[in-house]
Amino acid sequence: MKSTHSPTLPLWLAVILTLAMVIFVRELSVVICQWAGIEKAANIVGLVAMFFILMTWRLLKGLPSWLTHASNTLLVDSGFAFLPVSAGAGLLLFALGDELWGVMLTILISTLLPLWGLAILANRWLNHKADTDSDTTEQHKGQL
Amino acid sequence: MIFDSVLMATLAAILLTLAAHVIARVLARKLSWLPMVITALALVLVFLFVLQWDYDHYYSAAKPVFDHLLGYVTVLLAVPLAAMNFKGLPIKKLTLIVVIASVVGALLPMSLAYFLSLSHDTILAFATRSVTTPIGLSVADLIKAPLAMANLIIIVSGLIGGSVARFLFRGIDDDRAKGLALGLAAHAFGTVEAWQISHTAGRYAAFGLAVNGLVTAVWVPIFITSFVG
Repeated sequence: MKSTHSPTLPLWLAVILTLAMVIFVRELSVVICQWAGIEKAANIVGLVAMFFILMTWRLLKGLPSWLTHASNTLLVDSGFAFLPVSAGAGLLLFALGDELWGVMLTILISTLLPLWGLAILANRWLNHKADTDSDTTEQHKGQL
Repeated sequence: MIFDSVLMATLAAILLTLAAHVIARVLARKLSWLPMVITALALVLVFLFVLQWDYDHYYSAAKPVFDHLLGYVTVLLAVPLAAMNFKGLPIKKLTLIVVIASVVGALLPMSLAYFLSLSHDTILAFATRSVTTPIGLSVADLIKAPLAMANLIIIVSGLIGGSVARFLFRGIDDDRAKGLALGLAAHAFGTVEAWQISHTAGRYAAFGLAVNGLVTAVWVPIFITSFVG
C-alpha cells in the first residue's frame, strides 16, 4: 500500500484544495444524514466517509504529500473551532450544584490516569526493540 | 454589547474569537510552557468581560459558523488517520493501546461516577468523556445522555488533559507516545496541545483522537443500550 508521494503544489493551494474536499464531504454528509433522519451523526458519517475515500485513494494511487502537509497546517489551528463552546464550559460548571465536586473528581481521575498510563505504555511499546514489527521504529520516529 | 443585526453579531463573535486565538498562538510561540488552548479560552472570557458582552449572546452569534468549523475539523481528522504510516510500528500493540484507551475512556469515568453516586444521566454523559466534541455529542444523542453535560465533560476533561500534559510527560521522551496519549485521552484539546509539542506528536494525537472516536462511537451506543440503558 502506498502512503504518500512527493508534493508538487504550493501550500496555499494545497490548503484550499484540502478545505474544499473537507467542506464538500461534510456538507454532503449533513444532507444525507438529514435525509436519513440521523442529523446528529453527520460529523461521524463525514469522518468515516472521508476516511474511506482517502483509503481508496491511498490504495489506488497513494496519498499526495500536499494533502498531509495541508492537513497538518490546518490542524495546528483547529483549536479555533472549539473556542466559543469551551469558553462556556467553565461557566456551565458553576450551575452543577451538588454534583460539582463529584463531576470534577471523576473528570480529573478519568482524564489524568489514562493520559499518564497510555503515555507510559505507548513510550514502552512503540519503542520495543525486541518486537518483530518494530525493527525500523527508530527510522520512523518523527516521520509519520 | 448590542448589535443591530445578526450578521454584525456573528462577525464580531468571529473577530473576537480570532483575536483571542491569534494572540494565544503568538504567546505560546514565545512562552513554550504556556498552554495555548487555556490562554485562548481565558482571552475570550476576558474580551467578553471587557466588552460587557453576555456569553449566551456571544455563543448564539458564534454557533452557526463554529458548528460548521467543528464539523470540518472532525472530517479533516480522517487525513492523518488515512495517511498513518504503520511501517515499523508494532501494529498489535498499537491496536491494543487503542482498545484499552477506548474501553477505559468510557468505563472508568462511568464507574467513578456510579461510585460517587452521581445521577443516572450524568453517568451516561461520562460515556463520552474520551471522544472529541462532535463525535461525543452524536454518541450522547444516541445513548440519550444530556448533551450539555456531555459537552461540559468532554471540554473540561480535554482542557485538563491538554493543560497538564507537559507536566505528566516529564519521563516520556518519545513525541509519538506523547501525541498518541494526548489524542486518545484528551481528544481535540490534547491534539491541539500535541501540535504545539511537535508535528510528530500532533500527527499521532490526530490519529489517536480519530481512531478512538471511531471505535468508541461504534461500541459505546451498543454497550449502553444493551447493558445500561
